[in-house]
Amino acid sequence: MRKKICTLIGLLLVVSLSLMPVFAAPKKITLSVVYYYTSEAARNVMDKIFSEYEAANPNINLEIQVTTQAKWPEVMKTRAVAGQLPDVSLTVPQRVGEWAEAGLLQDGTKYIPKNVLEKFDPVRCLSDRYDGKIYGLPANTTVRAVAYNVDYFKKAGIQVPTKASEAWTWGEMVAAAKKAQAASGAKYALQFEKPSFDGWLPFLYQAGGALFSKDMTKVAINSPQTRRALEWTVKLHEEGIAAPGIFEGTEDPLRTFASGLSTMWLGTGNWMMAALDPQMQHEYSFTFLPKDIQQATVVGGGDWIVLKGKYPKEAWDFVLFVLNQENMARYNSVHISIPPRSDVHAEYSVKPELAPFFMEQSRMVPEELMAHQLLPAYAAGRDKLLQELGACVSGQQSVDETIKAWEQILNDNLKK
Amino acid sequence: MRERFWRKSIPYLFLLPQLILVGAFALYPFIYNIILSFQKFSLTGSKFVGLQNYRELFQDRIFWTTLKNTLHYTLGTVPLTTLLALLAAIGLNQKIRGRAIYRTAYLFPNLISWVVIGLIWQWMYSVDYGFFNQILRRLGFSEVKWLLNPKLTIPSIVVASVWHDLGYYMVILLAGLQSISESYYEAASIDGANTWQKFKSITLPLLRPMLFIVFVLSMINSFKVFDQIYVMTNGGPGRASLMIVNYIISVALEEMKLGYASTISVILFIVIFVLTIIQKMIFKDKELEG
Repeated sequence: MRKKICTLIGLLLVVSLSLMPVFAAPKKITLSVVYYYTSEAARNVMDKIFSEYEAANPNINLEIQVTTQAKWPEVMKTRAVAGQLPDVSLTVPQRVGEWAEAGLLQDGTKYIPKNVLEKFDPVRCLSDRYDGKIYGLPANTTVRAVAYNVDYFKKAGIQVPTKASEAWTWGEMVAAAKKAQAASGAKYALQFEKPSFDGWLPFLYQAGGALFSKDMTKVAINSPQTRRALEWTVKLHEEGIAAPGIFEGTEDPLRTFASGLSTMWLGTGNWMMAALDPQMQHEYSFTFLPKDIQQATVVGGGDWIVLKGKYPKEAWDFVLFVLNQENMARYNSVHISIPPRSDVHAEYSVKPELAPFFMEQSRMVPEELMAHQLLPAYAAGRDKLLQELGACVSGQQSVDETIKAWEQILNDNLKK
Repeated sequence: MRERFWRKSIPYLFLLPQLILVGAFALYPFIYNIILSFQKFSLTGSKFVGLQNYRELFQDRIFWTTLKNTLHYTLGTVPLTTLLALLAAIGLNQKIRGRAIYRTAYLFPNLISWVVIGLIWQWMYSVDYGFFNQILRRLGFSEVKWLLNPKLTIPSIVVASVWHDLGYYMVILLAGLQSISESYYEAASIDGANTWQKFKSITLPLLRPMLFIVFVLSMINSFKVFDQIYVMTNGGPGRASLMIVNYIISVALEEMKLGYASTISVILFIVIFVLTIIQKMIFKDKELEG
């Protein structure tokens, strides 16, 4: 009897032990995520999306690192050297190529359903494509335009262009800004965007200049068109038409415009409205970037990329969750940007009436500008290009010296 | 025998925790930095390149600009800080009412983070909103582009740095002044020495070790300047205020050239080391003369 009982207990033990893996809770996976936000509202939405993702995927735990857009390269490169890259990250379109080129990104071809990929704007997705593979998906699209002080322009009786085809020329725009300045008593007629070379790129391409040749094998920045764009920029500063300290980062462009010190803010865009709206002391609106020999703007935004790691499927699932219809609409609504999915409509939380305007401005991206700004040779040199621009605007070096320095920087990067 | 061994070992045991910390956080990174200076890094790995980074350094015009800027900053900061700290220390060594409050007030800026101070000074130097330009405008002068005029950028940062560091070096010199016995001054007074003679013949010679410390520390800190530049100008306009350490950070973390950044660090170490030795020799000669 005792023998039978012992055999029975033994059998029960063997059966229960062999069934343990079947009934045991699945092993929890940790996905490491690096992202940044531009406003508290955007952060709140992202936090909510992350919580909902964890609730929907109880076996996945998100480990979030928040950084700033400016600090992103530093954070990611430090993590790369330490061998601790995250699984997923938000970045700017210009950065994707550099990371894809280094072979650190995870191809999403087999993880992104075809019917989902078709919904994404193919032009906007160019930033995530490299060597026939897709390494990320866009979360939002931002567009550079011109913010202007409505009160000042009304005082001066100036009508701003309401259609892209009616966009001012450089001369018309400066004349309008000067007239608004005279009527309002503003200290500066206009201001550039911020310490950013991306913010200056539209003017280079408006003048017919380019960073690279059409086939993107040579540097083409040393041209009469570049000289024209740069001389125009320097002259605006020398004559006190443009607010000082913006390219150099010693003056806050948001404060300069919001307080009414300047009548126009060139190269800022839809994403800035969330910060501008509560601080603006006057009525404001947007108009089109000017044209020289052509119209040009730069589109940017954020792209979610997946890095090579232990859980590529889960990482791509996470990206697809963050960029599903509902979440993309919520994010773009608070971020005040254009959703890059054709089946998503986002109601801007600030000035919703400007949404069609930004859509129209976003179509003014020259094809080659779009391609050039995505080249790693440009992304890796943006900070140095900006330093040279700052040196030229502050009178430390001539226009020719600056263009030669730009050519050298881009050539060095292209060779790499 | 055993007792003698323990007696000899005890000082080393007391030193051990500090030696471990210095070894782990100073010596090991220092040696590793030298090794890195012979390597080239990419996002995916590194390789040995011999002296290539050092050759590149001597042809790097940005490096020479940062070295020139750093020397300019050091030449502005070190004498000014030392002189003002000495004057403040002498003043606050006198029996004046509210002495403790003044001492705290001088030291206070040193207790605040450079991020806060940098932003405050950046605001004070602002062309449109700045405190200094408000005063100039009220007095009928035209405004000055303090941080935007390449000739004024470094001097403007020097002023902010001196204001921040003054209290720290004043405390060191004050400690030195308080260690000088009153009897020297009493004897000099009996001999009919005036204030300047007492200062020249008693205070300065006896304060020389402390002055050497202040000189060396402020010089090392000036060569290592980073925070105020990062917050106030980020090296601009152009590269007018770009210092060596800011360049090292930019090369290492923005361009991902860790090996090259290590090479610049090694050169920075050699420069500081040589200057410290020269200072030591100068002060030693003066001591001998004294």
